[in-house]
Amino acid sequence: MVSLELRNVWKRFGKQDVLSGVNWQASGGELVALMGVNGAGKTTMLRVMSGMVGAESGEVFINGKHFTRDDVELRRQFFLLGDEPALIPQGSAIMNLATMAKLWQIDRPNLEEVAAEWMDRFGVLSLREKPVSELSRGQRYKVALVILATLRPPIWLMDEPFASGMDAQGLRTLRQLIREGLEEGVLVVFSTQLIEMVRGFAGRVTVVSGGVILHNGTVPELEEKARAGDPYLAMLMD
Amino acid sequence: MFGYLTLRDNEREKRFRRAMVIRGQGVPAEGEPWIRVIPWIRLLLGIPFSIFLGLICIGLVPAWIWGGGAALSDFRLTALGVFVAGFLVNWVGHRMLQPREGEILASTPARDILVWRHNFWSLPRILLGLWAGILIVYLFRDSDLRTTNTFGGLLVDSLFKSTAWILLPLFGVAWQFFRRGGAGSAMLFTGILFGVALLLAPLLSLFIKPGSSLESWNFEAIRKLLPVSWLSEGPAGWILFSLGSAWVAMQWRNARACFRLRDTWAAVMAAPAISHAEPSASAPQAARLQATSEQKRPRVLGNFPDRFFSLLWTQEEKAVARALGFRVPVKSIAKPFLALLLLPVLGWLAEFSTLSEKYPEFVLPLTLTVLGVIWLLLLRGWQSRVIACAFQKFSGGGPRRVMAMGALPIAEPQMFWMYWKEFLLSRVLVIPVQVLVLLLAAKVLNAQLQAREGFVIFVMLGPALFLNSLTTWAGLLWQGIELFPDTLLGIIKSFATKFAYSIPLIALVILSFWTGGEWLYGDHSATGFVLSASFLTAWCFGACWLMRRVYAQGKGSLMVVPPKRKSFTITLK
Repeated sequence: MVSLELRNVWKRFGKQDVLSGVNWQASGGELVALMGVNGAGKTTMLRVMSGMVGAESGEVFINGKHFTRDDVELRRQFFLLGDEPALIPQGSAIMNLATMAKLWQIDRPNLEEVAAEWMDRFGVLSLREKPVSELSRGQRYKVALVILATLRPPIWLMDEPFASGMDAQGLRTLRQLIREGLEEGVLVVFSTQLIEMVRGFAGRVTVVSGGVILHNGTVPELEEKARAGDPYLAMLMD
Repeated sequence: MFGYLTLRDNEREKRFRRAMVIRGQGVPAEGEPWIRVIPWIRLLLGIPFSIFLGLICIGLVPAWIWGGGAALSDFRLTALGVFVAGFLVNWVGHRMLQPREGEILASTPARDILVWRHNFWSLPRILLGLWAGILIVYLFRDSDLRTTNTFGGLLVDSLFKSTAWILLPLFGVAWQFFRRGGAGSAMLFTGILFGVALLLAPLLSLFIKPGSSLESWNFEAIRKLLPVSWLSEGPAGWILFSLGSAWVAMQWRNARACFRLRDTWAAVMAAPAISHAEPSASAPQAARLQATSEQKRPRVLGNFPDRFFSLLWTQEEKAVARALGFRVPVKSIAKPFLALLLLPVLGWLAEFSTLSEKYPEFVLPLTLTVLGVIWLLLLRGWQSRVIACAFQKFSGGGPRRVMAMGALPIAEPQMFWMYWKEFLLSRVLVIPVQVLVLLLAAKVLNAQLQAREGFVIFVMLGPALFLNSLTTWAGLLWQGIELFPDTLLGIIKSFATKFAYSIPLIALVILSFWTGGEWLYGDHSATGFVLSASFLTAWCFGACWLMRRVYAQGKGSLMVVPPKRKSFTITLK
């Protein structure tokens, strides 16, 4: 089973510590929501997990193996979906898909069928030949999700997927995709600021504030803490 | 005319400019057609522009070095006119018609006047600087300038003539903006070509032999069309010149008043990226994807590039190249051929030009200029896609493309090897032509300067083969990494480190050439040269290694440098 772990990770931008000795871990089949206000460190945490930015100190482990950004094999274990999807702007959805499949070294015989199905479910099948740069933000996000659904690496990291500009159909399909992934044992980590997106959906919530983890448990436990008078958590629950 | 220069910045404008600067550091929207054309325009304009620049260097040499005379004055004047026109053409093409600026500006809640100020922020200063430069040249134009009694008269004369020279380019720019971008690129470039041709014609007339068939073209007559010639046509010319100046000034004023951001061609180009209608999502699933990833012809790398890159890179590297939007290094292929085309120009200058008869003192400088242009063409590295992407990735943050790259499974060592392969490929294409030019240069210079052929070859070949790649790599690495915070002290430190890298590098280059020359002339032993060249190589490699190490310790890798502060407190209000 896939696992992801941060050990004593410190990250600093200028003089400000964005992550201050964060210890965190999760394993396959889990859906973990990273919550916090703007600037809390959610995105930085995701980027450190993925190796997109290096930390001043601390270590990242994927499947128990020490991870560095040059370890391409381990990088193929996950797919990071940032607020702006990592797509080749002048390429079509198909071209992007083909390129990503090569980069991730995915060569399944039914790749096209799977991709077509997810394109249809996300409503971007008719846009498959258009350059990504000509698509709207929500459409670009859908294309990236199609690629994710097609490649299916064992770890999915998503930065604010529910604030990505997608329409209701896209959001509904995203939830379906995540549920399918969880059934297959995928580890899904996503960041959000909205408790509505977490209730009844995420199995675990990690609340980050000022670069430290304030809560790492279930939603009912988080609600309990908020009711107990923790002002920050109460604000998040509002 | 440039009254808005005096307007003071307000906070909003500062923020606006700051945002422009930040976004401006990003990668241009490469999918847009205009961006794809820009490198070709640069190349096409760049070569003649480089030659003119060389000529300007000759033209700008003070009169007391090369003497005076009407012919020399005309030559200098023409060179300056071409320079001004070329500069404005370049400036307009690069700065004003960038679609990414249009896109960004169009999505920014800024008043048009702010956009105007932003776009024209540097133009008046540049023009004033050029104007001052032209005046200085005029001051040195004739040897009798050193007599103080004619200074005032000459100053006025220079002022008018300078205005006359920049009148045409100014009009072209004003017209473009008066039309609110509606004139389109074809109109703009037609105007620019016409303007450049007007400036070029007198220059050509200098090179035509009397009695030749080209003389019937009467290039000299075209010079009469230039506003600078009107001034010598008596009162009528002066009136015409005054009217022309007033009209251009009026066009600028109107252009400012009529300017609307969303009407500019740049904004029109960016429009599809700004708003896009949501297409129907009801396509049936039965419409399966017909083409597999292999069958589909990608937009970035077509069949030819695909085959081309197959020679260079492995399958995985090719996928990386595709992901990063690499293109075939067209320049590295085209430059050797262009250099070969320029060689006949060299021969023409030496053998058939009337200059050798009329102005023998011009032959050597012109030959050297053309030779220098050819050599620069071969020596200057093209914009390496690998290196550009690598440094963007190394910078560890910022614009969208950097983030996109960071999200892909690509290793930095892989990027490094791809760069070297790309570099070696370019050398393979360039070196044969370099050798040819070297032999020719050695022959010409040996005949004219009595220099040793070996020395010439050494001086020209050294930087091409040994130093160019290293200095490029280390230099870009040095500049590309943000080691210091964006504060005044950080900026000072940043500059200090860059100087600390560059100054010894330059000193070592000079030392190597000097000791190498001495050695080739047989004046000294090889020890000094070997030592200085070794230091130079070590400096380049060392800088490269050091920067990678510093980078790895800082932002790049996931560990090593412990934070200064181990403990912390949380204060919850």
